[in-house]
Amino acid sequence: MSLLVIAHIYYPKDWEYLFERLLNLREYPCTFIFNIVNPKYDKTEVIQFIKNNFPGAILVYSPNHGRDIGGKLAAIDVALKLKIPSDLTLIIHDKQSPHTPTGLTWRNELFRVIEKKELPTIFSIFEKSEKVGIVGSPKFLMSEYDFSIQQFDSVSNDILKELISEMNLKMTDYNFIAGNIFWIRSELIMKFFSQHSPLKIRSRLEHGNVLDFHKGTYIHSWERIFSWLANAHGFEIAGI
Amino acid sequence: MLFDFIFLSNLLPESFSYPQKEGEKETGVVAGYVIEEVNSIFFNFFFDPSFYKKEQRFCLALQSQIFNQNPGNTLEFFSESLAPLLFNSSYFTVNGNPVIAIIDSADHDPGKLQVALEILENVFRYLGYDDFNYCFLNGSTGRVTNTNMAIDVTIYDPKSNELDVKAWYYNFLEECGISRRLIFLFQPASVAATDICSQLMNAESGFREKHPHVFSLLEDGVDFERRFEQYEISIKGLQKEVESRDAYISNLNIPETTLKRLSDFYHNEYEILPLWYKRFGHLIKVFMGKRSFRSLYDDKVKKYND
Repeated sequence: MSLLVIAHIYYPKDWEYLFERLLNLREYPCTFIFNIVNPKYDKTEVIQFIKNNFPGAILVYSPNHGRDIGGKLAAIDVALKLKIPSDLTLIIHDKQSPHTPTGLTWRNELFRVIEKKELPTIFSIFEKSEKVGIVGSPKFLMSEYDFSIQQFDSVSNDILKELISEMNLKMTDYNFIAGNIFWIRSELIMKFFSQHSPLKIRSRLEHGNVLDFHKGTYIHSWERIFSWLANAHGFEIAGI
Repeated sequence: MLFDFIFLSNLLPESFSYPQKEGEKETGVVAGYVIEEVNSIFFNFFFDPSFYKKEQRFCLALQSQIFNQNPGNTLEFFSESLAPLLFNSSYFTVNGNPVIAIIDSADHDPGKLQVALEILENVFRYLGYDDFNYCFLNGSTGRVTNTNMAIDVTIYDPKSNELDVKAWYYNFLEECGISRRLIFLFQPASVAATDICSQLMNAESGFREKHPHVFSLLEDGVDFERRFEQYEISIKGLQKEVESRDAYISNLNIPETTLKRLSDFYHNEYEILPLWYKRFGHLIKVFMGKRSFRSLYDDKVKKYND
């Protein structure tokens, strides 16, 4: 299986945890696209590490717009326009979540999808189960949708409904992997974003580091829609 | 070379190739692709993985008429076409912001230039940039007609200059003063970029031999301004980081935050249980080997196994 890694790098420090694990993917046929937030401060060290350890990787510098979702969309746009072929795509970022005390535990659990011992299992799930569209950590698989009142238990309820209608998404469930780190069949990403421009979606995302504590955001809505691409195309989410 | 040179040449797949040899010192040359039309040549050239992986710095110089070629969906058309280039890690920036040149048409219509600037402002905003650097160049007069760049910009066009590039650059070094410069050089189609580079370096060598102290001052001045630029970029980054941390901290005291949810969860799931039940739970922990027995009655021993 050929792999594509869409990795968004924001933090200037503590990036080793992600990169040490990404090195596990070098033994597979893999194209790496690193979106590095337009270097407003010195990122020489991380860039040098990428050049030394991931030769041939595509480096994208995009402005800090739409947090990790905006960065991932910029990298997906490049992957689409450069016609990078792949079977599976890893969607990942240097998650830290400093706003929550459980941030690092959350990250470590999500990063299981790039642990060396888990990789053969993950690829095997995709090979054996044609219905599986996404593989990620089951601990953060959640749904906010209440079918009885047809509302999302989320401050982003209105935006989510607006986007579902706009993108014409037909789903039977609304499960998503909170944290937006998982493996997905590339065809789902490529099919959807060929029809809906990643840059156009990105242009509507909020600028800078926005949180969704008080009001809904397009960023956090798209975090959910990324996972919904599986269900919307008749696939399922599997946990590891 | 001392200054950043942008060699402007029409876009052809083989139009710019400056073969930088291994171990060779960075020359500062930036490939400036003059774009007359966003067409299949443009897409084939720039939307190629091998181009994307090159480390040669480059930037775009758009002919002003390009903005009139695609009426209608202009914003999306230019955003979709230019984004992968502007996001390319080799795209030339000053103060962390991309540089884009617009080459004035022969009729020099200020209205057209204004339209071009408005479109570019919208495109950069659409792509999430806080700022970008623009330079409107008039090759026939050898002038910069409009720019927002903080550094001095100069043009050399052999068609409108009596001096050859070496003589022109030598004179320029004598007159430029100690400040960083960005030089747009219109590259004649018949002359290879490498030849122009060697002429420019010859001019620098000649100047250094004749005025070693002045040249050394120039080097120090340019080096200082480059480091200053990096510090400015770092300061902007740190400011953003402080703003971001402030936003996180301000959220900690708000009732809807995760901390409050966590505390509510703890209260509802554990704190409201009867005391005897909680104590029984501690005994279970001991039986499971998660807690030491002694810690049940002695506060001085280690309570939990790691």
